[in-house]
Amino acid sequence: MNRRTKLKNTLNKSLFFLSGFFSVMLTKVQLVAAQTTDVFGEIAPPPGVDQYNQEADIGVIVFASRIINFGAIVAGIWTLINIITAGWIYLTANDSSAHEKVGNKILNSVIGLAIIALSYTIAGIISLLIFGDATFILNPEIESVGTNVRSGMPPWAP
Amino acid sequence: MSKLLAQNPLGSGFKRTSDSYNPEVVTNDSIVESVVNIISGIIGIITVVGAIFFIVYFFIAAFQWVTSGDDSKGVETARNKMLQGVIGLVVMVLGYSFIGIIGRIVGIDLINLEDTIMNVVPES
Repeated sequence: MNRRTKLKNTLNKSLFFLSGFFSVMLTKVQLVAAQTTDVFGEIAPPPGVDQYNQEADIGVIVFASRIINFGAIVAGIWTLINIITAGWIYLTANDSSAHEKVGNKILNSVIGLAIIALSYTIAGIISLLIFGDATFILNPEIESVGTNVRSGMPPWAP
Repeated sequence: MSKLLAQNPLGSGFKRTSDSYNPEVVTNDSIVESVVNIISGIIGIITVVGAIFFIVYFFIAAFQWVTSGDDSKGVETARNKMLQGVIGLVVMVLGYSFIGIIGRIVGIDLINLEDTIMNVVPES
């Protein structure tokens, strides 16, 4: 076995190894991302996270909306507790200032809950009056350099 | 201004917390419309609460009248209570018309608030 055949052998071996490696990699990539369009495929979101990426969203705002919704529920329960404690103050108070205290407590709770429930519209009207566009806060757009947000095409696209 | 929601990298935007007064799709017109609806709803709620308070007040005054007996001062306070309740309810119901008249006098269209708001929106 001369030096040339030895080199050829090594080259063949390494090529075989590399091709096997790449084929395994490709199968894995295709398993993870079924709709591979690019050469290297897409990065597939892990389970749970992929439910936030339903309509080509990156899911940050969907997640924030869920958190806000949860906060609204917590605020509603808190308002209920506040009204119950206000009634308890009425029952147990001996001084005449209880009437004012209870009224303030219930009124403040209800106003706070109303602000939370109407926060969407409040944010919309504020952004409409300041930016001239109601969707500026509620449906934000992040523009990168050269990217046309409205068409969604990257700058290198034909 | 038309927006293609699916192509926005941040998706379709925030979801509303309450379905009653917040618009389903955010546009300039729908936000202004729901603001006007909120103000109408608040006025309606205040009117209904005021009507309930009037009923309660009226019956408390009637009870006071009955229990005052030959105390003429008690009768007078009860009658004043009734009268003030009636005046308050009438003013509350006629408030809408008063607001319209005042808005007409000062030149601000307070009844058609949508046009008034849209007039001060900056051009984007």
